[in-house]
Amino acid sequence: MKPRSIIGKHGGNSGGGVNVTPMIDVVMCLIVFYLMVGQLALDRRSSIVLAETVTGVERAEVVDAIEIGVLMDGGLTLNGESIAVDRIGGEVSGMMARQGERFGGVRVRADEEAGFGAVRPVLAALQEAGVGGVEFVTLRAAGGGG
Amino acid sequence: MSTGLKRRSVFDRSGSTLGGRSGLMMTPMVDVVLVILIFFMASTTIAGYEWFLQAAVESPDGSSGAQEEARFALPAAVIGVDLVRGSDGVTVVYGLAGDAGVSLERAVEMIGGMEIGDGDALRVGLGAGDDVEMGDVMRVHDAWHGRGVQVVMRVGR
Repeated sequence: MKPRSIIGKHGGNSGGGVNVTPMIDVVMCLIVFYLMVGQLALDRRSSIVLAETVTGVERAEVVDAIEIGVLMDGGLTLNGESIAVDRIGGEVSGMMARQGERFGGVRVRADEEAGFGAVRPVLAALQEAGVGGVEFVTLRAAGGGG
Repeated sequence: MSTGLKRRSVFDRSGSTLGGRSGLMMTPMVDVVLVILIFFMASTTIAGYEWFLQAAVESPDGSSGAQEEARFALPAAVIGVDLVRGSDGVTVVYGLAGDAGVSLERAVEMIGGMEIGDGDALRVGLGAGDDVEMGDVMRVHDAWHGRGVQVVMRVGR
């Protein structure tokens, strides 16, 4: 079998010109691939295994929430970036001041195997920053109805 | 502006460029549908199905953080619940059965069976030892949340 050029004007399509369908297919696949890889690389969410809960509050609207991750080994992230515990209070205060009325609260994404000893200093830092409440992110357990 | 190109339907049987074959061109549609399918499957796996358990953070003076209460309203009763990891590695819950500790399963059962009239009139100060796993803390939190009781996370040891 003889390979045909995508711009070949002989033998096949009488319309001529470049056949763009395979190119669009490949480009779409590449876009999807890079979107997924980028998402995984940007934040370290994937390494956090959340606890499952039967109850919870769903949020339909997108808000500018500050997200603190607590990894299984006790490591901390602030909006996907690694951070030391003594910097959390200052960073959160700054973010709250910048967001103003758009401030959407603080979410804590803690690994189910992380010790409470890793979460306590985070809560203490939030307390000092004037944050009155947090939302713990959990996974909806099978049969959970809110 | 006319480009001279004529838009053709995928059902078009006239002037076929496929060597005389006619009928619906399925290949591009199948390609696109497959890509969309993979995208949604992957995004579902990554995102999971998340929701939130709300908790107040204990105020610096050690109170339950009830700042918005009406001036003359009675303060909410606060129950202190503590999770401690025993020497055998099992989490024990204190504060529900006098001075005695109960297992996590029993604690969830007890919370579920409690008679709670008005959830707003009760708050739970939830604390835990450093080595207690967050999964256990969330389980107790979940049980209280299911009863409509506000949980205040205790920061002090």
